[in-house]
Amino acid sequence: MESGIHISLSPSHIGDLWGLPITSTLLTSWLVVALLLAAAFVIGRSLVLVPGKGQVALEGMVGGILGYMEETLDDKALARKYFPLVMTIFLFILCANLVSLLPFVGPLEVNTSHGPVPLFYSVNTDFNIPLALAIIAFIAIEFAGITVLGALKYAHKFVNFKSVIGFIVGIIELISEVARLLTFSFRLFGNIFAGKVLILLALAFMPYLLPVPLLVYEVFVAVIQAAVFALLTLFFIKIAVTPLAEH
Amino acid sequence: MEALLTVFGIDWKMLLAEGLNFIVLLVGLSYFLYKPVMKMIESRKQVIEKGVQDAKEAEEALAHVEAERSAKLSAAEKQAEELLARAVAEGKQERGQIVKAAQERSDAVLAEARAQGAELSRRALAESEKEIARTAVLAAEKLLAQK
Repeated sequence: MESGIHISLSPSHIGDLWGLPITSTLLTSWLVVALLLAAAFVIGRSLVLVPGKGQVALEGMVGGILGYMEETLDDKALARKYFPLVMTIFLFILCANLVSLLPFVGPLEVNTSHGPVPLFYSVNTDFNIPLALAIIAFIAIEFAGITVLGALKYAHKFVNFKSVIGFIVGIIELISEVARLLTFSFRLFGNIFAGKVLILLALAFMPYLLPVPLLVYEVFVAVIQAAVFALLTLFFIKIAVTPLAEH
Repeated sequence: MEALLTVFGIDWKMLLAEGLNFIVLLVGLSYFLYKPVMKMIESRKQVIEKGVQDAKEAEEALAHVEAERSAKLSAAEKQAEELLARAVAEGKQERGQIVKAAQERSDAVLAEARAQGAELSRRALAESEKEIARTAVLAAEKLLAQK
């Protein structure tokens, strides 16, 4: 990277596999999924009735998050149903962000037909990934609203002919509902992309000391963004399952 | 819009791949991690509940045994007291009988001794009367022979 800083909004293309473009961010996300699944497999098998410190911490975390979800949703069954989704969103984004800060992510390159490209690259700098997560969260939120309230009652939130104000509020609700797709995905993408650019700049200016505090800050951002995405999913589910107040 | 999609490199195939990726992770984590952890928490809760229940039952059983023991103990004590009282009463009765029998016996012995004494003195009296008579006869014979 002597020639300067290379920043691209679109992911680097490595090759194709059965028509699917393989990009460095896709590879990295596979790595993250593999790491998480391996960790889950090992941890899930080592659970014992009389727990060690690690298991106490894990159970405390799972129990704490589930308890918080039960409190927020005010419904034990609903909390249990959506716990895996919220927890997985948190774990995936957190691990993706943290793995992206590892030293081998970025500099390690492979040669392709159009020059060398990074083998692994910061996952959430590829807009496809936050967008995919946002779409999944969006579908889950709408699904929660429809299954809990019923399709008609849920639709009534957005299409309301009872009064003019009700109608306008419904339209605004509908727009903000769809806008969530963009806010969800761009919030995560923007934070991580900006962090990546910041670190690349710092590396270019002062490679030895300056990146350290920035990396610490990026770890913080990684946790915060993962928590924000998961919590917003939870809150939007809560909003979706809350029936329209009758005036 | 088309330009925006190209700038960000948005591709429905990539979206699908990443979505699938996430779903695989969701299913895998649910199966390997969340379910076992939940089950573990649940089963530990049951074990603790059972432990508490068992302790309660043991305590109740202990109280029951304790009550039974003290009841048995007091019954045994009562029985012992009764036994003692009866033995004392029987002893008293027997003593009275023995004393009475001894009294009768001693009375009989005394009466016999008296009778024997009387007989002896009567015989001695008769003997001494005979002796006196003989002595008197002899003295008379002597006197007669001197003259």
